[in-house]
This record gives sequence, structure tokens and C-alpha cells, in this order.
Amino acid sequence: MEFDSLQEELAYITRKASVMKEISDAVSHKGFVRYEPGYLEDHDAFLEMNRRIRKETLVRLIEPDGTLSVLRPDITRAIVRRLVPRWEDGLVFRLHYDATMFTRVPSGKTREVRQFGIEILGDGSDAADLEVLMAAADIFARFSLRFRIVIGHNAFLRSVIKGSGLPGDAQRDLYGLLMRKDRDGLKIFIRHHGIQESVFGKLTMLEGTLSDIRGMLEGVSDDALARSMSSLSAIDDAFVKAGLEESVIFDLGLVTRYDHYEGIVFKGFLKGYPEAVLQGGRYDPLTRQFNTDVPAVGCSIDIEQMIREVTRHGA
Amino acid sequence: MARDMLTLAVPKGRLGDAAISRLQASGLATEVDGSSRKLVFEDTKAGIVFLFVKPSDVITYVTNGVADLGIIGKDALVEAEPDVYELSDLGFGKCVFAVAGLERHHELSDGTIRVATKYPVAATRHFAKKNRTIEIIKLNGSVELAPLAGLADVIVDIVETGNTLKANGLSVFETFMDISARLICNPSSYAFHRTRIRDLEGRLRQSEEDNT
Repeated sequence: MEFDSLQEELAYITRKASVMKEISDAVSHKGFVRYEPGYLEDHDAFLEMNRRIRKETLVRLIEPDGTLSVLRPDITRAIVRRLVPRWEDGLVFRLHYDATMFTRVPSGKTREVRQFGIEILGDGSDAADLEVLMAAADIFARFSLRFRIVIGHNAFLRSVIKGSGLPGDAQRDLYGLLMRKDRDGLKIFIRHHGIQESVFGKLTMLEGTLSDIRGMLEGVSDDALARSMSSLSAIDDAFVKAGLEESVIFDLGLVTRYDHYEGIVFKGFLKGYPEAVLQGGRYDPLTRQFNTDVPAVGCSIDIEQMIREVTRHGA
Repeated sequence: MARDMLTLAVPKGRLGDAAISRLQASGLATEVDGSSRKLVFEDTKAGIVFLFVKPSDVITYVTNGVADLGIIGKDALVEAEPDVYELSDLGFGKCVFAVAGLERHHELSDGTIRVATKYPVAATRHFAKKNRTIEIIKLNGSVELAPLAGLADVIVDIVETGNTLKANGLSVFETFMDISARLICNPSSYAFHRTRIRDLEGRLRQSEEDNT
């Protein structure tokens, strides 16, 4: 961030500190304990578990013995690696962190992104999903930011893709099409792979209110769809009750760069800033990669960007 | 500019002229004069501001959020891989990626193929699928010259009629990926203005169907 004078910069730093304190106090009050995650990830293990990530975006380090490490591109994984392997039945832990992650941008430079995040480990209930979502919405709302949260639940999408029998590389192409909402590309894909168009052709358009989505999938009966919709209904009710229904869009075709979400998944945007500042979801599959089954849900916020928007528009 | 106006980045030049025709066929941008040097037009009735920018800058305007939407060729999207939604294939500006060169030279090359192109990402991906080792020679224009001058074995370029290739004695060895103009949108604008953006997309699609 560029400033005209040191005085201006110091004013920003002061404001930032107070915003951080307010957020940190708010989540601490809700029972989320502050946690310090580690910096390094094993390169090969990371890529194995995150097949959709672009390798060139990773910041790699070569250790003296020749092994490769990755400077954490994602905080959640660092937390899970540390805590989950030793998990004991019945434990529930709410944590929050404020940490820097590293990505390489196309110019080859390393970009540092400061993230604030919260996680609930050990609780697989819809209530835990909702708790995380509401905490995120509360952070935006408390600074009077105009925001939208796009919420999906991928049980349905996963079941549709599994049922199609598409090979792995075609699935990757499909995720790319959905990530770009490329409806015309999807039509060509369907023709090319000879799959049933009835549900597949709609995957980029299953968005809006829950009744919009229900309307689009009329006549489709599927256990996974029922699971997705019932989970989203509970969220819808809570947002309506909080008077925040205007800020929510549901999207059953929502996919993210990370493979590890299963169940609820969401992204959040601030008015006037083009990229998502909030990402999150339920990531039980990530904990399963460590040979244990610990339900987990969480989200992260691009906090620098959010503070910039607070100083510009917020209260 | 009013707060609620949608902003659409339109490329200047041939693709932009086709874009303006489509917009006007949809009853939008009727005031826009393609031959004018003005870079900003407002369609207050439709609530859309049109920004006329260099084709290579359309993606930059959209990903930085200065424009909510943009019209740009798929070739540019393949190269830049921006985080944007590709809401619609607008069906104009059609061409195809092609591998071309002097007769036979291509098949003879067993080892590393030297590929001259403005499209390193598309070229690298295409040859990787065929398990061929290539060396990319990045050029900014007059790519057809490269095989003639001995700079490269083949070129990868977008081809519409193939006349430029023919005029330079080059033949197309193979084609991959159909290219056309796309309506793109940044995800944040989409989250805030989804209904209006889908309306606009629908109008553009409808006028395409009416014309075909």
C-alpha cells in the first residue's frame, strides 16, 4: 500500500491495529482461541493433496538435503497437520489466527497475503457450519461493509460428477468450467463426453435464492441434493433471522481452488473490490488425509484488503 | 458516473466493432459512435457505461474491478488465465489456434521443436498434450516471418481465413481450440449485480439467436 506521507501511514497502522483488536476480541468472546500456525509444508505432500492448485503459484524452498518445502500458501492445512494427527475423540477446539501466507504471482515475485481465520475442529454439525458463517458475516457487518457471501454445498455436485464416470483429467476440466461459470464451454464438454445434459447442463446456473435453485432442479430426486438443500435451508433461515438475507446468494455449482472441501463451501466479496476476500467451508477430507477422521469447518479473510475497505468506506 | 451503473470494457478495433454491432442489435449503446475518439460512453437508459480500451487491457480493467464486465477473445483468456467468469460465448470474432509452418518441416523434426508465437501458454499446453518437447520463442507480431527467417520450425497463432499464412507460403499442420469473443465478469461484480448482469447476457444471446 502506498502513502503520501509517513503521517498518513502511521494513521493507517493505528486504524489497522484497532480493527484487528476489535475482530480478535469479537471472536475470542465467541470462544475462538488464538493460535500460531507453522510456516513450512512438505512440497510433494502438499501437491498430492491439492491437485487443483497451480504449481507455479507456490513459493518453494530447497532444504540442504535436497528436499523441497513450500512456504505456507494456506493456513488451514498447516493447522490441521499440527493438531489433527493427535486428535482424541470428543475434543472440540475453536481457534482463530492472524498469519501471513505466501504465493508467487505471474511476474515471479512472492506475494504475502495476511489472513485472519477461524476454525472449528471436532464438530461435524450444521450448527458449526453456521457458527463460522455467522462469525464471518458479523465481522463485515460490524464495520458497515457492503458484502455478499456466495454459499454452496457440494454434496450434490460431487454426486453428479461421481455418477458421470468421467476420468480424472476430464473432472479437472469440468471444475475449471464451473469455476469460470462457462455455460457455453460446458455445453461443448457435455457433447464431447457424451453425458446426460439434463442436470449437467444446468450446473453453472444453480444459483440465486433457494427457491430459484429448487425451481431449476424440479423433478430431480437425489439423496445428495436433499442433503445439500437441507443444509442450505438452515443457513438461509439464520440469515433471514439476522436480517442479512440480502447479503447471501446460494450457488450449488460453487467450486474453489482447493480440493479439500466437502459439504458447505463459501466465498465472500466486498463492494468495489474484485476478488474474494472471504473463503471457507467444511474440510473433513483434509483431516482424513492424516489418517484420522476429525470433522472441521473454517474460513479465512484477506484482512489487509478488508481493512483497506474499512478505511475507505466502512465505519 | 452514477454508483449503480454497470461498466463494460469494450476492446477497440475489429473485435470492438463487432461488439458494438451486437450491443446495438440488442438495443444497447445506440448512442455509441465507433468512429469517434471518445473513450467513455454512457447508456443511461440501460444503466451501462462503456469504456473503450486496448484489447490487451480489457482483462486488466475487469480483474481490477474498474470494469464489471468486458468483451474479449478466448485467445487472450487462455493466455492470461484470469479469475473471471466467462458468462457467454458471443459467437463473433471466430478463429482457431493453428500450428503452421513450411511444408513438411514440422514432421521431420524429431527432437525439440522451436515454436514462435504470441501465445506461449496455449502453445505450451498444446504440445505438452502431445508429449512433444518445444522451445518457445515469444514474438509480439508478424509471427509468420519466423519460419521463413529460420527463427522457428513452426508457429502457433490464431487463424481466421489463413490468407496471411498462404501469402507467406506457410501451411496449417493442425488446429486446436475454437476461439471467439466472450462476455467476462469479475466475481465480485457478479455477486453484487447478478440479476442485471444475467439480463444483459440474455439480451446479447437473444440478439445473436435473432440474427442466425
